Amino acid sequence: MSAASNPEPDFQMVFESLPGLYLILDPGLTIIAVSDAYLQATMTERAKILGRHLFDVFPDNPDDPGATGETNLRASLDRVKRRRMSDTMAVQKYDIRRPDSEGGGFEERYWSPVNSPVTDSGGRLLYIIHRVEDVTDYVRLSEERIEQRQVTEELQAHSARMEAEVIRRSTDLQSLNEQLRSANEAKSVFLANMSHGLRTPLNAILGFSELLIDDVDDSYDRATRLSFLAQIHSSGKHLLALINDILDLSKIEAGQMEVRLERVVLRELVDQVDDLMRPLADKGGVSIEALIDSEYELLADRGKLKQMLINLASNAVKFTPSGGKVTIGYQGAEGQTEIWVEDTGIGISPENLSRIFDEFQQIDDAISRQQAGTGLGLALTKRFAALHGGEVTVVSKLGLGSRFTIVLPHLARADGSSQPAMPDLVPGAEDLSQPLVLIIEDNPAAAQLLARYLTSGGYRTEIARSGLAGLAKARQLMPAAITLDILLPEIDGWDVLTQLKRDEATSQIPVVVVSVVANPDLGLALGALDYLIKPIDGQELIRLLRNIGLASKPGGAKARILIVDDEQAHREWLADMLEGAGYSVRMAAGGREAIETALLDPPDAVLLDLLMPDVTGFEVVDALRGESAMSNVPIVILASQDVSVADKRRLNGKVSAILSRRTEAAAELLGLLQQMQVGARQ
Amino acid sequence: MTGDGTLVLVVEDNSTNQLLITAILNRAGFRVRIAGNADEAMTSLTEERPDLILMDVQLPGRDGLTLTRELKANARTAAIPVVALTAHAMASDREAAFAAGCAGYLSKPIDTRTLATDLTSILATVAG
Repeated sequence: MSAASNPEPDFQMVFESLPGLYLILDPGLTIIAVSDAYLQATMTERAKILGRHLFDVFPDNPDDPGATGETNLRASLDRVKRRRMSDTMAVQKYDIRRPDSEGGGFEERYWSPVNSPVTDSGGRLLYIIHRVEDVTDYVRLSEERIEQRQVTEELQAHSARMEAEVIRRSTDLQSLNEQLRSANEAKSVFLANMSHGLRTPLNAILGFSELLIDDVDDSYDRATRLSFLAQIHSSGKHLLALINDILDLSKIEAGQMEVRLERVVLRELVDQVDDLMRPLADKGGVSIEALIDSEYELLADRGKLKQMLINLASNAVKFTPSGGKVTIGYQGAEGQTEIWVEDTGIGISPENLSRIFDEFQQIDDAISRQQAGTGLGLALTKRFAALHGGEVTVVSKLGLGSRFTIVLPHLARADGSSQPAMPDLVPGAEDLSQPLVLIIEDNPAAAQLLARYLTSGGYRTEIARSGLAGLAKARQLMPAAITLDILLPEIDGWDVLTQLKRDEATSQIPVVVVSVVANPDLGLALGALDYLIKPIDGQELIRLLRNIGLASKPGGAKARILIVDDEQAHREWLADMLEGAGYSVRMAAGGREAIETALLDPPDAVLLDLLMPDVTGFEVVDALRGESAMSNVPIVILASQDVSVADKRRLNGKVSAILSRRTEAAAELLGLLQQMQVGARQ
Repeated sequence: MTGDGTLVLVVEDNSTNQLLITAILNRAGFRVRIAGNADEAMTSLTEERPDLILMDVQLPGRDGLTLTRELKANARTAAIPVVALTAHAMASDREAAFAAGCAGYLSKPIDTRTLATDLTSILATVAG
C-alpha cells in the first residue's frame, strides 16, 4: 500500500516523524504520543513512556536541589489548562536522564518549551501539545559571547588603566623635571651669590696689597699702611669664614656631615660664646647676659651647637644698637631643650622673616651692609639644628628686637632627670648560636638603636652603660665583638680599649669604635671624641698651653715649645705668636728633625703637624712615646684635615689633644683637655 | 699729579671700599669726601661743591641712579659730572647709568692702578 494509493495519511506515523520534539499529553498529564525526535533527544524509548504520567517519566534531577524544571513545567501546564492558551516557557535547564546503556546519569540541556492546548468545538481541553526546542547550542554560544565580551571589557579597562598610568608617569616626569629645573636655578643663584661673596673680600685683598706694592717711595705713613694691612687681614678672615661655611653647607647637602653627640654642659658652652662675642659687644656698647643654670647638661654635637650659638649671638650683637642687651637663656621643657638668644635690636620685618634662613639672604639695609656676615650663618644654624632632629624658630618685631630659639628634641637630653628610662634590650627566646656583641654605650637611646640594628643583623646583644661595666661584661661574657662609644662616664672609651687590649682574656676580641654619619635619626644616637680643626687661633692656643700648666712665669725659666710643621709660614707664625707670649720656641721642619731635636733636649710641650712628607706625625708620636724622657711630655696635634677614627685609634692614649685648623673650634680644646686630664709638667 | 686738588665726592656704603678709593685718589692728588648713603651725599653737596661724584649704584635706601636723576633734575647740581660704580658689568647696567645722566661708568672690582686716570679722562671729556 503506497501513500499515493491511500489518500488518508497515517497521522500517527506523520506525527512521530515530525522534525521537532513533541509530546502529546492528556489533561491529566499522561503521555499519549511522542515524536521520534523527542525520544532521541531524551534518550528514551516510546514503549517506556507512553501511558505514563509526565513527571513520573521526567522527574527533576534528584541530585540537584536547585532544579526547578518540574515546577516551572507544571505551572505552565496549569496555565494552559486554565486559560486554554499557548504558553511559552523561559529557557529551562533540564538534566536529561541518560539510559543505563549509555552510562546513566544526567546530561545538561537547555530547552525552550511551548505548551499548546487542543480543544474541541465546545472548548473542552482534549490534549496538550508540549513542544520543545533544544537551544543548548545557542545558549552555549551566547555564554561564550558573554565571556568574550567580559574578556574584551577587561582588555579595554586594562588598556585604559595603562593609558592613565602612562599619563600619570609623564606628569610625574614633568613635575620632576620642574623640580630639577628649579633646583638647578636655585643652584645657579647660589653659585652667583657665592662667587660675589668670595670676590668682595678677594678684591679688597688685591686692592690694598696692590696699593702697598705700588708704594715704592714709602709715601704712606705707618698708620695708613697698618690700616691697609688690617683690611687685608680682616678680608682674609672673612674669606676663610665664608669658605668654611660653604664647605659645611656642601657637606650637609652631600649627607656627609657627621653629628657627634656628647654631653655638653650648656653653661660652659655659652660662656665660651660669651667670651668670643665680648670684643664685638664691647665695641658696639651691647651687654650680654647668660641665664643658664651651671648644672644643665644636654646631648648635642658640641662644635655645631657652639657654632649655632655663635651665629645667633653675633647676629644679635650686630643688630643691636649701643646701650642694648643680648640675653641667652634656655628652657628644659618636656620633650625638648630650647635655647634662645634674644636682643633689643632693630628687629626684622615680617616680609624679611620668611627668608632670613635662606642662603645669602642678608637683609639689604644700611646696617646689615655694614656687618660683614657670610650670609650663610642662619642657613647653617637651621641645618645644624635639623641634623640634631630639631629646628630654629624666630619671633621679631621691628624696632623692638628679635628672639631666635634653637629647639633640640628630648632625645638630646642626657641628665637623666626627665628622660624616660629605656629598658635594656632583654634577650628573650634568643638563639644562643648567634654571635654576641657587647655594646658599650652610655646613652640608652643610642644603645637601643645599635642593639636593634645588630639584632636584625643576626646578632645577640648585651649593653653596658659605662666603661667599667663594659670591661666586666667583656670578661664575663667573652663576646664575639664589642662596639665602643668614646665618651663614657667613669673611664672613657680609649681607656676601655687600652684595658681590653692589655687583658690577655679579652685582647683578641675585635672592638669597633662606632661613629655615626650625618643622618638625623642615626646622628642623634651616638657620640664620639670631638676634635678641632686648623687654623689655630693664637689666643686659644695660649689659653690651651696655660691650661696644661705651661704658663710663662715672670722671672722664671720660659716653658719650651717644640713646633713641628713642614709649612714654613705656619711654623713661623706659630713661633712668633708663642715667643710674643713669653715662650721659648724651637722649630723642626720635618718628622726626623723633630725626633732628633726632642731627644737631644726634651721640650715642655710639642706642637705637631700630623701630615708631613718624610716622617709623619704618627711616627713622631710613636718614636717620642717610646723614649722615657719624652713619654710624658704633652703633644698637641695640629691637624690640617679632619682626623679620622682610624687616625685617632693610631694616636690612642699617646697625645694630649688634637687641635685642628679652625678658629671657631679651637676654644673647645680646653674642655677636651680637662676631660682627658692631661698632666702638666711644670 | 693727575688729580691736582680736584674734589671727588665718593658715595659708597662699604667701609672697605671707602678706604680703598680714598687711598687711591689721595695718592693721585685728588681730594676726597665720603658719603655713606644718599642723604649724606645731599648734606655733603650743600657743604662743598665737588668737581665729580663717584656714585656706587647699589646704595642702601635710595639707590645711586635715583640719586643721580635727582641731582640732574636740580639746577644747582645738574652740572656736576657723576660716574657710576657698579658690581655688575652688564651692558644694560651701563645703559641705565647713562640714561640716569651719568657721565661715565666704572665696574667693580676697583682697579687701583687705573681708577685715578679713568676719572681724570672723564673730567677732561666733560670739560672739553
